[in-house]
Amino acid sequence: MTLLLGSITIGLILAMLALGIFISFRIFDFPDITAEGSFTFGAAISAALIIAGVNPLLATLTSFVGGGLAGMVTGILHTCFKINSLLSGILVMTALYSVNLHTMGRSNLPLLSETTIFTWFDKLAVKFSGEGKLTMVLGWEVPAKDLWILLFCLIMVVMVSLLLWWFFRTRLGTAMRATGDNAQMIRALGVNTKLMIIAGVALSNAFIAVAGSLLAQYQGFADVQMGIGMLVWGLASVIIGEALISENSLGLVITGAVIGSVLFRLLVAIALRWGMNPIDLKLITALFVLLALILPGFMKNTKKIRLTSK
Amino acid sequence: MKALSGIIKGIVALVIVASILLLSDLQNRSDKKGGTRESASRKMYKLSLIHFVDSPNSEECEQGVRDFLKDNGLVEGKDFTLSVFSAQGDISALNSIAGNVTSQPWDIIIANSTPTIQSLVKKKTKSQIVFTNVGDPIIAGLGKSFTDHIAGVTGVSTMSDFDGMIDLLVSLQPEIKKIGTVYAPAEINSVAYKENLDKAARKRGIELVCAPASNTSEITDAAVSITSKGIGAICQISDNLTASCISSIIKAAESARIPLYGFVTKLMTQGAIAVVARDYHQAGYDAGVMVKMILDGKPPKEIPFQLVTKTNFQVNTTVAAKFKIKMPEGLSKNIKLTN
Repeated sequence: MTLLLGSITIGLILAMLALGIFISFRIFDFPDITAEGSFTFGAAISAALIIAGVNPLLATLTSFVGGGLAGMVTGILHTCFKINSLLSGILVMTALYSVNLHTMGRSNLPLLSETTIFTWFDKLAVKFSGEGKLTMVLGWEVPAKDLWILLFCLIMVVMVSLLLWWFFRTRLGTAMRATGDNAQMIRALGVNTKLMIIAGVALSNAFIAVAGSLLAQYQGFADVQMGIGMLVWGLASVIIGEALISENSLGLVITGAVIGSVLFRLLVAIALRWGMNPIDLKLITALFVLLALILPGFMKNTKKIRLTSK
Repeated sequence: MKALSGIIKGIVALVIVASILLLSDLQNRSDKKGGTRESASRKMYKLSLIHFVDSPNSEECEQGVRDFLKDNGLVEGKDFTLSVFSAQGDISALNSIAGNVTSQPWDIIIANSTPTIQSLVKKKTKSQIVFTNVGDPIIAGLGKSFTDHIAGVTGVSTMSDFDGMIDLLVSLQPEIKKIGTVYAPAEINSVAYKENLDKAARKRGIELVCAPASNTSEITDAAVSITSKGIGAICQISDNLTASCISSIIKAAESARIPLYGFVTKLMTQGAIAVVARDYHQAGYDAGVMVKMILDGKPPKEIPFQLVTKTNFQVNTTVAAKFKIKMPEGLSKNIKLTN
C-alpha cells in the first residue's frame, strides 16, 4: 500500500513535468529538449535556497521563475537567432549543466535535515493523527504522513491543471494555441508569434522546474544527474494519456497528461514489485509503455470489426 | 457524453493498474508480524541491494558483498536471499525502487552510492540500511560525524586514504618536506579532500602547497605555480576538474622533474610514480561485515561509519628509478610493484 501511495505521489509530482512537456510539444509543436536541464535547475535552485534558510514555498516559486528564464533563453535562441528548435534546446540544456553545478556548489545537495514543503505535511500528520501514527487503509498499515503528502500533491495538480485549462482559454492562451496550430493564420490576425513561442517555452520550462523542485524536496536531495531521462518519461506520459483518452479537447488532453503520468509510475512500480532481473528494468518499462499505447487502439479496432461484421 | 467516456476510460485504467499493484502487495497486509518471528536457527535472511547506476565500481561492490557472505558460510537460497535492483541511472526509477523496497520487510537494505542512500533515508522503513561506495557520508547528510549518525543507517565511505598516501610518500622519499596539489574551490569534495590531505601531511611534518583552479584552462598555470615552490612531489587529490585535465598536471610535473602521486589507479599508466586507490571490491566486502554485525543483533546506530579497510597501493619501479628513488627494504607486502 505504501508502494501504491508512493508511486501515485511521484506520478503526481512528475505530472507537473508532463504538463510542461505537453505545453511545448503539443500546444506549440516545439520539440524542447531544455527540459532535462531545467528539471535539474529547479531542483538545484530550491535545494540551494532551502539550505540557505529560505522558506520552501518561496524556494519552489523561485524555481518556477528560474525554469521560466531558462525556457525563455531557448525561445529567444530559436525565434530571434533562427536556431533550429532542437539545437537551441540542446544548447540551453548543455549550458544548464554547468549552471546547475554553480547553483548547488557541488554535484549533490542533501535536504535530509532541512525543512521542505513535505516536512510541513509530516507536522500536519503529527498534529491530526499523532506521532508516527499508522492509519489503516483497506487492511494495510500506512503512515499518516504519506496520505497527507498524496492529498497535497493531488490538490496541487488539480489546481494547476484547472489554472492551465483556464489560461489556455483566455485570449492570450487561445493565441498561443493558434500559434502552434497555424502560425501563418494567427500572424495575419496581428499576433506576434515570436513572443508567443518565447512565452510558451518559458511557461513549459517553469512547470518542469517546479516538478524538479518538488521531486528534490520529496526524495530529500538534489543531484546534478536528476534530469537524465526525464524528457523521455514526460513525453511517454503525455502520449499514454492521449492514447487512453483519444479526444483532443483541451481539458481532456490536460487530464490525460496527468493520468498518463500516474499510470506510467504505477506500471514501473508493478515491474519492480514483481521482481525481475535488475538489468531488465528499462526493457520492461519500454514494453509496458508499448502496451499502454497499442491497447486502447487495439480495443477500438476490435469493437469496430465486431460492429461491421454484424 | 463522449468527452466523459475518455476520462472514465483513463480512470478505469488507473484503477485496474492500481489493483494489480495492490494484489501483488497482499503479503504485506498488516499480518506482517507473524512472518518475521521464525526460529532463530533456521532463519532465512532477506537482503536487498540497490544500485543507482551500472558501473564497474558498483559491480565490484556487489561482488564484494556476495564474496563476504560466501566466505562466512552463508549460502544464497538457503541462508539468505539477495534481491538486486538497479535504477539504471534514472532518478525517478530510483525513487520507485526506494518506495518498493521500503514497503517490504527486509532484514537489511544495502545501498550502493550516494543518491541511493539519500533516497532511502527519507522513507520510513523498519529495515536497517547499510551503504557502501559513498564518497563522504557527512557531506551526503547522513550524520554529524562517523560515530554520531542517523539511526538505522551505517556504512562504508570510499574517501581517499590520505594517511596511507602520506605513509607511502614518506617511505619512498624520506627527506620530503613539501608536497603540492591543485584543487577546485567550486567542488566541495575537492576542498574537503585538500583539507584532509593537509591534515594527514601535517601529522608527518610535511607542508602542503596548493593552488586553486576554477576551470580547465587554469589547471596548467596552477600546476606550474606549485612546482615552482620547492615541492618534493605532487600529490594530486582526485576531483572532477583535475581528473578531466590530469595530463596538464602530469606534464607540469614532468618538466619540473617532480614525481606525481595520485589516488586513481588509471594514473599508473600515465606516468605516476605511485597511487593509493580505494578498492571497490573491498568496499562491498566491508559492507558485508557490517551486514553480519547487524544480523547478529548490533543496532546500526552503534556501528560507526568506516573507511574502506583495504586500499590498493601501487608503485611503478621504472618511474621511481627515473627519479633515483630506491625501494626501501621494509616496504609492506600490500604494495604492488609494477614497471
